Amino acid sequence: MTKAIERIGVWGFMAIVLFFFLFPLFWMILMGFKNQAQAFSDPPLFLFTPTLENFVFGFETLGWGKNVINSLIVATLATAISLILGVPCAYGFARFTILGDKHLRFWILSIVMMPPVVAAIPIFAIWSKLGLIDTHLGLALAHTIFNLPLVIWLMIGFFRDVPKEIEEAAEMDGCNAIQTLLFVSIPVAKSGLATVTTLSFILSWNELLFANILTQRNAQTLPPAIGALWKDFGLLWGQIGAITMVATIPVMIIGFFLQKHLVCGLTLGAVKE
Amino acid sequence: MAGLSAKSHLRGLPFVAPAFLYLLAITIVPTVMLVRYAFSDWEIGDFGGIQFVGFETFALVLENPITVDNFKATIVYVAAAVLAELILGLLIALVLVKSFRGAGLIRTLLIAPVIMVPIGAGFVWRYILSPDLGVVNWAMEGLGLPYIQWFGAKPWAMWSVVIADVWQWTPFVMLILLAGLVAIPQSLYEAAEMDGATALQKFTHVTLPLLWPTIAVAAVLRFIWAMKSFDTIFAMTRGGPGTYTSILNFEIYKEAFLKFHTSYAAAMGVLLLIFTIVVTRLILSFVKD
Repeated sequence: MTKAIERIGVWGFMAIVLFFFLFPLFWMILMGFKNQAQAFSDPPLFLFTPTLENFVFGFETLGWGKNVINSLIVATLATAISLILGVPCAYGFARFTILGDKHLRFWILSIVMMPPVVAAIPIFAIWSKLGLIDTHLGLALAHTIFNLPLVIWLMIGFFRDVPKEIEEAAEMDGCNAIQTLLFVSIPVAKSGLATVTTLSFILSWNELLFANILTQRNAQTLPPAIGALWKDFGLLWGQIGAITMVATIPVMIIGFFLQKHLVCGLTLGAVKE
Repeated sequence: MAGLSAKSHLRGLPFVAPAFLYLLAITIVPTVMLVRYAFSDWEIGDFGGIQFVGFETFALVLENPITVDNFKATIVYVAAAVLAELILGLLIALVLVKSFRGAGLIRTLLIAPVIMVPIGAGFVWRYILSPDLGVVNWAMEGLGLPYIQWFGAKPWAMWSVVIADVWQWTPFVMLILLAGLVAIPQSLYEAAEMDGATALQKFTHVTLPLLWPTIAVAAVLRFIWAMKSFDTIFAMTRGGPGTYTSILNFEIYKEAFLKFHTSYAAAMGVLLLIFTIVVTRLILSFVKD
């Protein structure tokens, strides 16, 4: 009897939790398929004839396709730079003792703490001088300020989990340190690599502040394009719902497939499975 | 041994050096520039050189009554959001740790808020809480509850942005705590049961003490992240009404990139950096006790 009550209690609580956390996603989808009149209806509509006009207008007139491509380019570039620099660096920290490595590692972690807006002030001035404003590279470089420390921090943990014996055996067989990294350590730590790649990509894909400040037309990614739908005369709800779906669904698909990896990454390695 | 370790230093260096030099260039140069701005009265568009004015800009920031509002907003926002996330996250984790059918699926579904594009989520919340079009006010009217102006009025504007933050980040806290709970050895609970401990006693004497370090990690991570909140505030209130929900991070954005008060924003930025470091240290030392 008490077991049954407990079970009902658990399911009741979980139902409320799921409703709270998933309702905004459900509402986003409804929003995206509403025309302007339906979106502004009072009382709010649950049942209506869905329309694709927001998507059509967005892709044909507002150039969302370009925003998607820009987001892809910037997130890929930022992730590639972070991995190319960060993976060997993490390997160096995990494998060798380096003078003052404790302080170095702490300094790298403390960069993650820095509020981006504080970095954005001088970055804007420097990028203006270097002609990096409104370029894919400029935004990607700005994103590496936060993605690179994250890659280093997480990969140190993953490389430490690689058994030393395997690496030593490879060196006995005549691999140099770079070959050992490329052909032994990275393949063994590949699930860790999947974690940092996914995380870096999603962080860059979702990033608003730098994208807002550093891009205008040419390199504008999805988040500032979403922000731009808040006009002086009000918010274009239907279009906001539609573009949010465009920006969210790819990330959700990646996220659900790689959820175990993602959890570990999101928690800065505090959680390992 | 000394020879070996010296050799090891040299072997590790080529791996570490490129990333290190890159990070040095991309963080130290901007930090130095930020501090220079903070001690000057320079604004974007000034073509002359930087004129240093000592602590004058800091004095301007600290004398401005809005700064006090920003600090208050930051403290209320961060404290309310992080506390609510820890409590709610712990509750959900305590339920999900009892593996029942569907627990895995629920865990997967709950990742959605963490990875949804935050500005989009902020707008969706604005639509949900919209005073006239919103589904929340509509439901509340149906239940006979009073009409709420939500993000348009005090104090609801603050609770609106806090709700969005709690929605976005509770699953993250929950996942950390869940991993901590899973790691608690089952034998401890069995031993407590043998001693006749009640469910509540098991929670306060076994779960909580062993979970404490994990809770601390979650609290510190969330604190650091909440101090940087930008997207949902940008989408929901733009710091309003007035400066009521303008946390320091957001006010700096407004000053630097909407009003172009570069040196003023830089001085605020330096203060925010110091504030973040001090509070993080405080939390960490509190945790260690």
